[in-house]
Amino acid sequence: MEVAPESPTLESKTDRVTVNLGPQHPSTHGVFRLVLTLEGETVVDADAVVGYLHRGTEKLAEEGTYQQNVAYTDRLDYLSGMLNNFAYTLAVEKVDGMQIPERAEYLRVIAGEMSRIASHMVFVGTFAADLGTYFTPLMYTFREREAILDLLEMLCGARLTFSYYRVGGVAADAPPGWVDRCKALMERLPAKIDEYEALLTENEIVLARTKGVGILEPGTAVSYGVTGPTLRASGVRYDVRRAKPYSIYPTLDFEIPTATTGDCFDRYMVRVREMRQSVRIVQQALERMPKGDFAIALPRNYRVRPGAAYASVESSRGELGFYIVSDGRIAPYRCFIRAPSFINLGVLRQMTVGWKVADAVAILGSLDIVMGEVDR
Amino acid sequence: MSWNSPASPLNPCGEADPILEQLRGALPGAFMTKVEGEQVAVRVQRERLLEVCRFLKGMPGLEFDLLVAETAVDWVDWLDVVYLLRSTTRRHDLAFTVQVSRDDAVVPSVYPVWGAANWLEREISDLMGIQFSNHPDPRRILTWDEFEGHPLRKDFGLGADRDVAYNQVPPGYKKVGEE
Amino acid sequence: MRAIVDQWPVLLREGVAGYLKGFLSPTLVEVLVTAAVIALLLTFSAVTVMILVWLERKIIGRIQDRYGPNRAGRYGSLQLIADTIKLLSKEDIVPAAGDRWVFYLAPIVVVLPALLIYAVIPFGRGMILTDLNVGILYVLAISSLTTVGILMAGWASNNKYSLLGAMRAAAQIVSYEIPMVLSIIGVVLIAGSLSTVAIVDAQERVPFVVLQPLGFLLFFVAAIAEANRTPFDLVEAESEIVAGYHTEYSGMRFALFFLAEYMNTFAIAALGATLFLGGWQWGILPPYVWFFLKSYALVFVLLWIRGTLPRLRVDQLMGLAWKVMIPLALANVFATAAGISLWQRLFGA
Repeated sequence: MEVAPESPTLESKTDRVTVNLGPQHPSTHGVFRLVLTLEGETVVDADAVVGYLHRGTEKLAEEGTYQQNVAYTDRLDYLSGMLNNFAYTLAVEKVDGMQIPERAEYLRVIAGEMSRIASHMVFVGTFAADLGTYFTPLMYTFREREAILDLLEMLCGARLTFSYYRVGGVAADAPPGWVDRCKALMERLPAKIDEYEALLTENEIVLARTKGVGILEPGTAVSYGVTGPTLRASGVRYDVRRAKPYSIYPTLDFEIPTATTGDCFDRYMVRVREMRQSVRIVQQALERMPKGDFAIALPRNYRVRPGAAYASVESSRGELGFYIVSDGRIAPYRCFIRAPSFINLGVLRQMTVGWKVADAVAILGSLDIVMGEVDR
Repeated sequence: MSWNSPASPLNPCGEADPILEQLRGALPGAFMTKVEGEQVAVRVQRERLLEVCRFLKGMPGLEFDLLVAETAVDWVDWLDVVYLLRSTTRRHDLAFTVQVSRDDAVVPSVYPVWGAANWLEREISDLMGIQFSNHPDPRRILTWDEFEGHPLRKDFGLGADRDVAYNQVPPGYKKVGEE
Repeated sequence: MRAIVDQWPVLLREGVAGYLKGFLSPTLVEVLVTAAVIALLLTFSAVTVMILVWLERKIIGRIQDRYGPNRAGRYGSLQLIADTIKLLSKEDIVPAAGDRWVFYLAPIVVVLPALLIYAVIPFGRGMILTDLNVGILYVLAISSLTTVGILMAGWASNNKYSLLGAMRAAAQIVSYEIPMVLSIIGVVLIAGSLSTVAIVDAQERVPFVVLQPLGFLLFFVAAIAEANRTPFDLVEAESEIVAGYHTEYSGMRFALFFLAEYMNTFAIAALGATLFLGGWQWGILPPYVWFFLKSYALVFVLLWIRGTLPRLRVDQLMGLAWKVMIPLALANVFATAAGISLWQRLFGA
């Protein structure tokens, strides 16, 4: 009896599996859902589902006065709270054409850069934790972050959602002794950053997990609107502090770290070097800070001149901008938040497809997103 | 088309700005300008939008390769879609709007020109209700899939008058105990 | 005096056996004494796990610049008891559609090999449960049984991700068995015997780590992979997407898996100490003290690695085993064999 052959060659077909990196997961950096379609271990499609933290900030901003809305902005990128306030107040002051006192500018920049250092410390710690180091680098970076947050608490009373900036300046002046303590901390920080680098930068396993992984081409990056350290790691030298300078940045001396390849390791290195540059900026600003007022005294329910303006800062995640439309009332007519994490996340699919499952976590971690900003 | 909006996006340039000159030379009639003090507001015709965008991105010397932001403003009588462009190589930027009426809120998608438009336009269609033709992935992004309405519109209110309870069972699902 | 301090467990056993032989049949006495030693070994392994868990949490805490548990008892010593009570009081969830008996048996099959290894580890001169003359073979064979248990756990959970995780774990363990076996062959060649007692005796003058440095390194790395410790712990990694094989387990069953892991950790440290560091050899201190010092030194290195290094990706892990370690281990075996034959030619037996 003859049996007809099924097929001349044996094909190995792996099924496509859909894996859900669900909204509750230790490594998704907030409530974020990533639906991966896998063929074996390789990612074939990555669909990011966002909106779990959507709180309607833009709508609520139309109800609150300009000063009240500063409190909403803290909750966007809650890891570098000062920089959100910075962007918002810059935009409102641009619509109105306000000039703020110089001391206020210095205080803003110092607080903003310290926030940036704190945010990058969280990045280094959580990125290493995503790679599997069982939180040791995280504990070290959080130790210094605590020192920074202590100083910021001394300045404005809060550790995470500062609401320190006001339209017209900042909320309060630096208390006596604050500047000296800041200077002492900035002296200590470069050695600590060396400590993190000693643990991670030349570690064989870290290099094996991140070098060449998740490469983002510069053309794709710019086309997808990616900004911040992610863009600079791909080789595009675009930093809002140099491209569209604001506040006192034109007078400060600092470098913009860039890298060449655009893989996860480069994104990590760019942020570590940015920490060092931020320390430089803070040190310079502390030296030169003049005496003066810390804010313009605005009346309650101040009505901003009708008009529209877009102003942005270089946040620790990218270009954070506010597009404010005012029609002369006490509240903005429209407040659009250009959130870098939201836009950077749009490129996740291009970056993840073709890599393995474990790399998806490393790539997501290296993008450094904060869901508060993505969902607003 | 009327210019009755009290505010328009800022272009800190005079009427005779070289960018606008080039644009006017290459694509006449594609846009209108209006001077407001020291700024000029640019409004592009909806039908010529893709042409204008491709020109702005591709023309050497202009090279607007970064779509900084794309958003929408609800001016009650009409809706504005606002585009903020920047060039990473030339350091100049440009802002313009496209005006649509509420009944005909459709705009061509600029995704073929800038990939960033994908998520930005999804957000606008979700929150403002403006549809983008030829969009690769027209799903809601920030609200949940079964959500009805467009929250950022001025007639949405704060949701108090709508039956939008956070524990509302979405259509198609049954409560436990029901048949 | 010296003999009493060094040998009191053996003297105790002989003494009790001798006394009992007075009025019971010899075979019954043997059975009773062996049963007592087994009970002692089980207690010992339980206590070791307690100590190891406490040590891990304290040491990793200190590496991370924090205290580690220090509330439950002095220096957190009662922390494990508190955790055990918590685990015992958890609801026992069994997947409804899973294979129930396989589900119940899997943790036991994973724990048993870890316990059985202690049977052939010499704690001191003459202090071993049974001196099998194929001791090493027994150890290697038993440790492969863990794979079966893991696959059982992954299968019985009725969860495709658990199954994938279990298969990954099984692939990892099987891959790293080969370099482990090969690295031990060098030791066996030099000692001339598979018996653990004979291997320790052969290290009287020089521990094998001096004669077989590459072998020690390979054994250590392979053993870490066998025990699923960092950097090879992707099966229980929280930041990995594919769930581990023990995801569906709760309460005491879950605890059994971790019990197995810590027993395995100490077992490989004890094996490493026996095979390469000289076991209970060297003078001044009693032999069993030496044994524990050496074992805990290796345990400390394991914990240190856990607190410091990140995790390898699964394909990098397999690549390391097959492309790096096996060739090196084979080279080690050939070099050892050549060296021994040269030695014999030059210096006689």
